[in-house]
Amino acid sequence: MKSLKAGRIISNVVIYIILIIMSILWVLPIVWLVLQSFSGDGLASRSRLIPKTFTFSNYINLLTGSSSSDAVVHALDGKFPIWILNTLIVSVLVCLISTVFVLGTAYALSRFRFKGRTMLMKLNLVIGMFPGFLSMIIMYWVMKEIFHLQGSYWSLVIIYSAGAGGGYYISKGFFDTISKSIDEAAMIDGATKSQIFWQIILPLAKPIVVYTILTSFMGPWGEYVTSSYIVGLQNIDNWTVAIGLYKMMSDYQYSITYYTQFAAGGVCVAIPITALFLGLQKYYVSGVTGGAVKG
Amino acid sequence: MEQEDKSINTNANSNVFTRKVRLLSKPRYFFGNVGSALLKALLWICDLILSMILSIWHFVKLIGIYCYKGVIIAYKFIKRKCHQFLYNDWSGRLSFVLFGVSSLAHGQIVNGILYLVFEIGYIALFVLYGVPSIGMLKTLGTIANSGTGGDGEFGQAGGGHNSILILIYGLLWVLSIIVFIYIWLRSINSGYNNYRIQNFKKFDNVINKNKEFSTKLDNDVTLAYSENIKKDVFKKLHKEEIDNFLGTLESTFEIEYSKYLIDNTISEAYLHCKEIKKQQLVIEKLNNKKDKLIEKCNVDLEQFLAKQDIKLSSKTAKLTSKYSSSEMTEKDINEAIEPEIIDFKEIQDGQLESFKGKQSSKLNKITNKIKKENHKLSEINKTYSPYAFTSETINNSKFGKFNVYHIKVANYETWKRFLSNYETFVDVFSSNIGHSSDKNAENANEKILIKERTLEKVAEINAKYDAFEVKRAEINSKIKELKEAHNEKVKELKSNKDLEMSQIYTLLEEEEVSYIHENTILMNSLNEFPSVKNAKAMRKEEIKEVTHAAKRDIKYLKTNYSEYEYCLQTLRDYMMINYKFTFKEASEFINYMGLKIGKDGEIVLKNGIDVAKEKLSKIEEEEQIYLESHEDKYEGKSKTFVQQIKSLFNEKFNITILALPLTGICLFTIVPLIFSVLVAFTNFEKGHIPPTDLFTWNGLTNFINLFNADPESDLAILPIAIGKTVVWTLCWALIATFSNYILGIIVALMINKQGIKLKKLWRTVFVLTIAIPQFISLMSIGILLKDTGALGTLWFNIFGSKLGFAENSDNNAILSKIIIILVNIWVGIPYTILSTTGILLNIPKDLYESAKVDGAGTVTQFVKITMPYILFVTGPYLITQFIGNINNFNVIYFLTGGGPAYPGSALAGLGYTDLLITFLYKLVTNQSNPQYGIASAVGIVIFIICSFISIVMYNKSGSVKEEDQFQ
Repeated sequence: MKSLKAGRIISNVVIYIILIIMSILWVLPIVWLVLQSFSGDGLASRSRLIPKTFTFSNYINLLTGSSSSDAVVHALDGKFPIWILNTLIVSVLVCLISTVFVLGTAYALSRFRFKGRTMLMKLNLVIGMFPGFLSMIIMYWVMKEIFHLQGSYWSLVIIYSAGAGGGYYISKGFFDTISKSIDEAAMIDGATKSQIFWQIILPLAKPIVVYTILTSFMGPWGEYVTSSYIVGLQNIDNWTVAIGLYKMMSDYQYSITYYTQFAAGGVCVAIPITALFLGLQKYYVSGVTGGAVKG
Repeated sequence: MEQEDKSINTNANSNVFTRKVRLLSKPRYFFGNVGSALLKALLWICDLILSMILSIWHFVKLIGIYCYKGVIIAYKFIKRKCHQFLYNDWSGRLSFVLFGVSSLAHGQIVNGILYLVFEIGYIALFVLYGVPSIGMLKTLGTIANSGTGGDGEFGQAGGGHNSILILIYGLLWVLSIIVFIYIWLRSINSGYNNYRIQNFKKFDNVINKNKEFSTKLDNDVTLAYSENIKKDVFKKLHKEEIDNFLGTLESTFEIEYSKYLIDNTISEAYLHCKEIKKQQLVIEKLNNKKDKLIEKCNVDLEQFLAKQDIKLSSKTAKLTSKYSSSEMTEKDINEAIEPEIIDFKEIQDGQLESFKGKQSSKLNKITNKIKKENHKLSEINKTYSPYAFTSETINNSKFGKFNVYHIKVANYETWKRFLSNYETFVDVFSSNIGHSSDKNAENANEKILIKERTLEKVAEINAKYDAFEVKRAEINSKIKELKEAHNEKVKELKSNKDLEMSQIYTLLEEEEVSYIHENTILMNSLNEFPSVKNAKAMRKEEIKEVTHAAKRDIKYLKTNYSEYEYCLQTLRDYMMINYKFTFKEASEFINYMGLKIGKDGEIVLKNGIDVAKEKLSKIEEEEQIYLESHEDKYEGKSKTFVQQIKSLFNEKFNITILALPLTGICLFTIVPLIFSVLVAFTNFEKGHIPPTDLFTWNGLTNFINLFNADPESDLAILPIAIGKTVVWTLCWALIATFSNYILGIIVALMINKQGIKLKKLWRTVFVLTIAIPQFISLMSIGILLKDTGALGTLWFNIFGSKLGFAENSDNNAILSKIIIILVNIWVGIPYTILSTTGILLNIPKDLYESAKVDGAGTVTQFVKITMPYILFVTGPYLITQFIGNINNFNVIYFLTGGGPAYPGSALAGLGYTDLLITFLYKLVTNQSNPQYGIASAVGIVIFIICSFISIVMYNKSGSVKEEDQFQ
């Protein structure tokens, strides 16, 4: 008895130690970034774990646009609020449209048996095998030559939301688990199929609705690949935060001036989304596990 | 019902699994030596290669089957269209050329006009724009824009060509032909349907008249088929009968059509017989196989038992010989070797069990197959009706519902019912004047009563759950007491010096056993109650239900009826209860009456009683005329435009709700993909960028360049780079997927282990990584690890040499790769933790208990139980993860940007850690030297790799597919 108990205690202690070490490793880059955002040392502070001097001016400069007078470049001064606004517009619009698309597609594929249904689902699987960026090669030119939206974030809204219906898997899996007898009962009471969808299925599927909204908002918020290519690098006023912050760091010229502002910007971008995510974590987990089982 | 089935299935499944794992978890049998492990690995690799080859074969076979099926479908399709043309009225036939004529002729004016306008508009546009666009696709333009800069807009530069626009518009026009064909088919179908709806009765009569004949014909065909009589011979043999039937059909149909019907019946019947025979043969074969297998199993089992016996006897002999040298009696020897023999027997039993399990699983497989085939047979029988041409030509459910006769008659009836009782209704209305205040008072009383009742119910619920808590507390205190008593007794026994040590221990053991027994009884009784948390939630839920019901009831009890309102309400109720009118009808009729209350409590009627009587006689007359003119009780009418629109929100809601998403996917996902695939066959690259310079088709040059570029050209780096990148991509995907998966599960197990506190905190720490946008967290790690970053500097200070992460020098490519994988673990573990925690909590506990009994340690439990179980459930997820990792852009791009770069003047800054996807990205976004064509070719390579891997994986994990059905 005694040895067993001792063994358990030892194993628990070992696990605690491992968990603490891992937690430090996991939080370290984040804490470091936050510290950097308060640093007064400029670019030099990136080689220190803890900055020498602390200041609030990074945030103030980032939001008001007055960088120090001895800075090399001023091109990105005061653009951050514009970027945030752009990203917010894109994210909110995409979130609205694609949530409706995804849930509608999932409902139709879950509850209706129509011609070509299985073919549609198989086709979607095949499309998923292509790298998403492949279609962007031509989308850039389409947006430029046909829609004349070159370098504008409105083209991002179209691109992100138009194809959103393809990501129906998780919601469909969830709808499948809602008993069909509920539908039938409603149908006997004289409800039409559209009423069943809006008034019965959606309220029952609240976790998955929240999950869809959350993911479709978070997607555009931190997306870089498509937005950097479609919006391009010329028109600074049309950038999203991802492009802007990446640009602050990727060019050496910029990074001399903006390194600490980049850290501050990163914190600003991360805070709302992290709060949102942690608040709605429950729904996210239910979505992910549902999807994991369904594949 | 369905859900119940599912749960049963999963139970059955998990039982199978339980057995399997039990066998596996007996460690003795499965800790082979290193050699067998190597052999297993070798076998696994052979299996993988074999399954790859098999997958290719399956793929080829699948294509063959689809081609064959496609030909048959096309044949049937053309036959059906010919039939629809031949047996149709003039408007339907004209609909083949002029869309919508049939709709116009049958009174669907809006539909007809829409069809016609679409046709005319499309053809005009196609001639004007479509033909030139498609024509130019061949060369992608010949006249370049001149004099404009790189950003010249199309059309303003003096009418020059632009290859991109030609490609896009040309292809869109080609694709639009598909839409045109679809609308054309719709118009043909609607024309035929109109004809069928109008003549439904005619067809229906024929069916009813000739059911007998068709059944007989069907039986004859079955008989003839079994005697190998061919179709033509059969027709000759039964000529008389067929002619007879033709005679009866002739009265309703043209002779050609009648012949067609009979021909069709006979050939359908033949086809059906053929199919059934084929299916029966398959089943027979399987049954034979099963019989053979059973025989073989029995023989094998006998052999196995015999072998075991031999082994046992030899073992006994060995053991006896071992002891026989020493001088012992036979009895002593037997006693000495008995434990070893028992052990040996146990092992043998285990082996026998696993052997039997293997056999039964084989048998189960084949019986399942037979079941499936039998099911198919019954399906074939079900879909076929004995009088085949009924299913081919007349479909009751499809066209019968367009009969509006009964609806019309019912409508007349309700009007008659209403008008003949007109006076009663007026009386009811007037008799209720002056009673509204009574009703109001009554309702107010009722409300108070309901409120009281609800309070009582809530109190009841509270009392119920409070009682639970009291009982729980009692039991808890009992448990505590028991434990204290036990502890005291143990102390007492230990301190008792009168007894011997061994006696103390036996007593202690007894005490322990009795304590555990009593404790489990108490614990079980405790488990019967819901947990504190659940009880709280249940109580809340129940109270909520009761209060909601009360609120609903109160809402419908109005206390502020006005005089008029109350009278109307009672009249409507009266009509609905006593005369069976629906709510809608009752409201409509009350509206028609136009009831009002005048000054002195008199009622005013818009339509007087005399008017009602007149209307009654008029309606009776109309009904008479209608009944006389429709003696066959049939009036076929297609749906009106309004009805069609309404059905879009009901039975055809899927069309409405899918329309926008599907168009979005088509226009912004599928069509661009087709474009991009086409771009891979053009020389769209630096020096060929429209509008100043045009590009054109260049066949497979891009693919050739990708794998075998001219070493003199600036693409020389490509073949080396692509080879290295493909290998690295695959390695990366494999390592990243499995490292995340396994480590994630281990961490999840750690967090969920009993006795570990602050579970929520640990989980939140890990979840932070998911919550923060990846480009921020990854970029900050990237900065940290660079030589100029904090960790890079730290490394330099400690080890005295540079870390060199993603810096451009040759020897640190491997180091960079290792660091990337480590960082990817940082990124990926939280996802695994989140997605597997639920599954981990659901693993049946008895698996672990039985494993513990068998003496398996923590590691064995993890390898033999946890991993297989989770793999079992999340197999498909793993495959998607793998594909996702092949296309994992973020980790690579934000950490290293692909560096360290290849030596020399590398194309577009390609580097050692580039994945195929970042490779593609760099080729496209390179400002000075964009290579769109080659980038598209790379995209196609990614597609081929991904699809190949998923086909192989899905084929290999056959259980994955079945699993999918259960969940």
